Parts: sequence; C-alpha cells; structure tokens
Amino acid sequence: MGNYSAKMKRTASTSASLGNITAPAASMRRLSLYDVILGSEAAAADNSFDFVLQRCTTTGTRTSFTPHPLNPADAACVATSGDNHTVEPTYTANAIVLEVALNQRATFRWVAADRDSEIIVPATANNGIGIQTPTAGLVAITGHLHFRE
Amino acid sequence: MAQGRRAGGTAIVFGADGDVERDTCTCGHCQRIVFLHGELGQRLPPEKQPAMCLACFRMICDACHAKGHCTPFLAKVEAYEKASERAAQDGRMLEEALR
Repeated sequence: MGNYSAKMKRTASTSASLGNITAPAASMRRLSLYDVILGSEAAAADNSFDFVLQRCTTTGTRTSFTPHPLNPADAACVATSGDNHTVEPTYTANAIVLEVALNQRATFRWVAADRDSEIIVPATANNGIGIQTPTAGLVAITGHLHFRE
Repeated sequence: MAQGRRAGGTAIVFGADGDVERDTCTCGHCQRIVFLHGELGQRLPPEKQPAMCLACFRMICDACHAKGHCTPFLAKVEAYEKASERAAQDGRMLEEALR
C-alpha cells in the first residue's frame, strides 16, 4: 500500500471538470482519498467557485497522467488520473462527497483525521472521483489530491 | 464539538481575510463530507450537527438520515464491486447486474 499525489490544473478547458482520479480498466484496487487542496492560480480577482467532488463511472476524455508515489520506494500507482477534459466523465447523480464555495482569492484544504474518514473509491473499472466547478467553467483552477491504494 | 462527537477531518480555508478552520465528519452511509462548523468557523448549534446512526454508530449526513435505514458505505462498496465482477463475467452492463 502506497501513498500517491495527483496534481490537476484547468486552464483553457471548456469543460466544468478540473480533473479526476479513477480505478484502471483492469487490475483495479480500492483507493482512499485523504487530502484535498483546491484553489485558483489565476490573477487575484473576486470570482466565486462552487467546487464539487463527485463520484464518476467513466474517465471522460482527458490528458492522462500517472499519480506520483510520495515514497520513491513505493510501486507505481495503479489508479489513473487526468485533467483538461474535453469530454466530461459520467458523474453519478447526487453522489457528491464534498461541495465547497470559494472565492478565487482563497485556497481550501481538507484532510481526513483517520482512515474511517477517508473517501473510498471502489475497485471497479473506471470508477473514481472527479472535481468540477459546475457554475464557472472557464477560470483557471488547480487541485491536488493525496490518496493511498 | 457537539455531543462529544469526534471529528473525522479538518477543512481550512486560507482566505484574504484570514484563515478559517472547520471540523468535518465523513458520512458513514455515503461518505459525503459534512461540516461541523459554520462558514465563519463558528460552532453550530446541536440541532444543526449531523445525526448519528444508532445501528452503525457513525455520523451521517442529513440526506442519509432522512432515508431512515442503515446501509454502511463499505457494505455498499462491497455489493457494488461484486455486481461489477458479475457483470464483467456475464458480459452484462453493470446497471443490469445491480438490479
């Protein structure tokens, strides 16, 4: 079991999604999200965002990258990750695990205090968690997730 | 924290007007993160705190509380993963296997 980090950035994407982490199509493992950082790297301005972390069942069309192990001795991450979506993932209706409204000048961090409080992604192909701002799709935002699998 | 419940996490907003720290809990039935403090970091009154399921003794969100029955999230995950495996073996859609 290793800990991994995934950094996501939305720049000129036309999608509402910032990015997502998903189980692979084969050889899936459960993953547990324990640290979430959300913010905007755009020039300071008073825009508002509604950040939503929601469960998804497809990866969507995205720029894929492999999450990075926090301990270099750990094995490569099995889960897949991506950002800059051109086709949105299929979000599960009402399966919202975190919703937070933020000003563009603010940064948000959530950390699970114990393993019972971590957000679990089932070991099912292409299932995962996506981050989106449904009401403000064109502002540059970033997200950083830490998870274990 | 209301009624002596232990927080399951912490959320911090680093804002232009200062930082606000809020305790959170993760719903035991759906894993939604519920805030135990208001947006300014103030303590919420007991009636606005999340409920506790008296079957699994986990804090749960309002939506799960309104359902009135206990289905722990891990049980849902296990059922979902089994249905997914069955669907893959039978060549069916996952939605069919879940019915």
